[in-house]
Amino acid sequence: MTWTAVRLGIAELWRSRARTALAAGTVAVLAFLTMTLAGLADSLDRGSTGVLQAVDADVVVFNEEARRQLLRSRVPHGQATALLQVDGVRAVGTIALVPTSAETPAGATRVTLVGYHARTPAEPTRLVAGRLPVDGEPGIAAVDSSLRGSGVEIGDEITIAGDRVVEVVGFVEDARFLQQPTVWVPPDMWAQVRMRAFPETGWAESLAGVSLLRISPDADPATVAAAVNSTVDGLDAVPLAEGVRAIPGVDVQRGTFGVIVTLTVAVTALVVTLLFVLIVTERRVQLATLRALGAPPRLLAVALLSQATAVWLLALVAGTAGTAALSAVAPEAMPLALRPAVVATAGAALLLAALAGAGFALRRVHRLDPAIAMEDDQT
Amino acid sequence: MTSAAPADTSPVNAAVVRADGCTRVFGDGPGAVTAVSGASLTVHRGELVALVGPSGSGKTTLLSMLGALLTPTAGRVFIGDVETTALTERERTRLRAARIGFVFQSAGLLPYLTAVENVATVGSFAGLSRPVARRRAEQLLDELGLANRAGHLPKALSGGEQQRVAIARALLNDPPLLLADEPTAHLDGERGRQVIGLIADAVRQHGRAGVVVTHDDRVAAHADRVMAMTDGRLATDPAAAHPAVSG
Ligand SMILES: Nc1ncnc2c1ncn2[C@@H]1O[C@H](COP(=O)(O)OP(=O)(O)O)[C@@H](O)[C@H]1O
Ligand SMILES: [Mg+2]
Repeated sequence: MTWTAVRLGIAELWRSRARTALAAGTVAVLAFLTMTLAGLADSLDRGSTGVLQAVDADVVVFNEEARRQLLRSRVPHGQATALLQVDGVRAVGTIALVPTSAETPAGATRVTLVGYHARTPAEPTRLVAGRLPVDGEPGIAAVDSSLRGSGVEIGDEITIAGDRVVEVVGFVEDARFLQQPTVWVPPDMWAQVRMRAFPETGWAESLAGVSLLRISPDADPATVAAAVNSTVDGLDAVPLAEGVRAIPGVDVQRGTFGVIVTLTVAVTALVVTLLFVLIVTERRVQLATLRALGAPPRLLAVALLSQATAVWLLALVAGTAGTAALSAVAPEAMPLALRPAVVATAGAALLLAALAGAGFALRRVHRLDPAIAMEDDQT
Repeated sequence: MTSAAPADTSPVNAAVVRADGCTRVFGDGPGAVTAVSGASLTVHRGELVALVGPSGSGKTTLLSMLGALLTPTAGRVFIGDVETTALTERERTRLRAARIGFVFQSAGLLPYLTAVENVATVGSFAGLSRPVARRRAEQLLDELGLANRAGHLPKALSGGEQQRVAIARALLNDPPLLLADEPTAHLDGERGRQVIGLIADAVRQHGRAGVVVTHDDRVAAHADRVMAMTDGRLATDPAAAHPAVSG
């Protein structure tokens, strides 16, 4: 019976292809919009927060005065010993950020220099080519893979902060900060650059920035963060997700795009509702005839839902293809990359919208009077 | 029914459908319309009844009540020994699929299915497997002279052909009761005659009971009994008490 229903639904779509194309085309425009906005939101978000997402940490520790600003935080690496004593902390690392510039084959570009210790939670995890620098190695860096767009390749030497030359030995994916590429270097290079950028701070003997904690598998980030705050003075520890949200613009960006994407999904649900209410109204006698001939309401429901699913699938493929095409031609100032996870999430939201829309129309099918089949306005 | 009249359960004379004082009122208050008033009617195996009467006299309403499509405001309907008026909507749906064949004024075929698909689809409503329903549909279309039209969509068929496909669809689940509402209204004389002949055959040769609503005198000529409706009332037909089964 279920298969009969699916076959009925699909046969109707197939035999009225022009109509189906129109319906799927309408929904595809909305799928394209949803997919583009979701892709944009995701790309912007990753561009802002990549530096914290690229490391393998559960808790972020700022000094209190920094007000959770990565660039302002000055937690000395010497705190590591104290932090390691806190319940649930398994490993401690430090990243220290300095905004600076880099000379690339494509010209000067703003970058964020990230000093870190190798083999700590501060080490970037998303190495996609080459290798990571080792502590003590002079003039070596791994850089965010977006610098490939500026013509940087492994083995190239780039100039940072005016006169520091580093050789690029690896690419790290999705590790941007505030939409700028990052350059990951050992503590020594960081100290040199910081000295040039902020001469008044003097020479730093060790990294001073943000502590990153990896916790035991059974520990809870919020609990560990609270434990840090109550045992070590002057620090402000938060779970990683909160540290990410504290990055300038992230909250507003997420809130704004969240509302816009929700709206496009809601509009999709509305459009599908209208489409299917129209179909049900127009096919009233046909559907009543099926009921009169002994088709249970469930069969008509399954037929309609399989149509909604088919329209969704067509629209999703077309919409995603549209967004992918747009991302290929989008200007550099518009970061738009579609990750499978985004396609899956947005696609699932659109499917729910389509089923909800069709489901709304189903209430009319359930209320349909089979006696209408006797009316003489059939064709 | 079985206990009240044992004679009726004999294979030849068994009552297939019985309406017992059926009344149907549409709407309420001063605007209420009594479409059918106290109609009683019994149709036996192998018997074809023609229901005639002016437009608006309640023929379609009565047929809908016989076919478990419409619930009477008062009165009862039996199909075999099942009181359809006491069933739930779900049970009525299942009963229609298995025990009633409908032929509507317009054929009412699904425009997106071929003739044979239209016929075979109702098999699944009564629990037939797809291959069985398909084979039976092909066979019925063949018997109705449509073997070479089986793969056509309804729009490629003439009105008479569409109506014959609808008859095949009505017969697919081998129902004991066949109900037709003005099946020849949209057909010319020759095609109308053909369709009526097929309905009469389907009733007599397979021992079904048939009720055909019609304006058409040719139909009446095929019927075992003609019952007239006026203003929602079924004219008393002396034959109803002692049905003469013809064959
Ligand atoms: N669904 C309905 N709602 C209200 N009035 C109806 C409905 N169906 C039929 N009627 C009324 O009942 C009367 C009988 O209609 P119908 O059974 O269709 O007659 P016939 O088939 O003999 O032309 C008519 O007056 C018609 O207007
Ligand atoms: Mg009528």
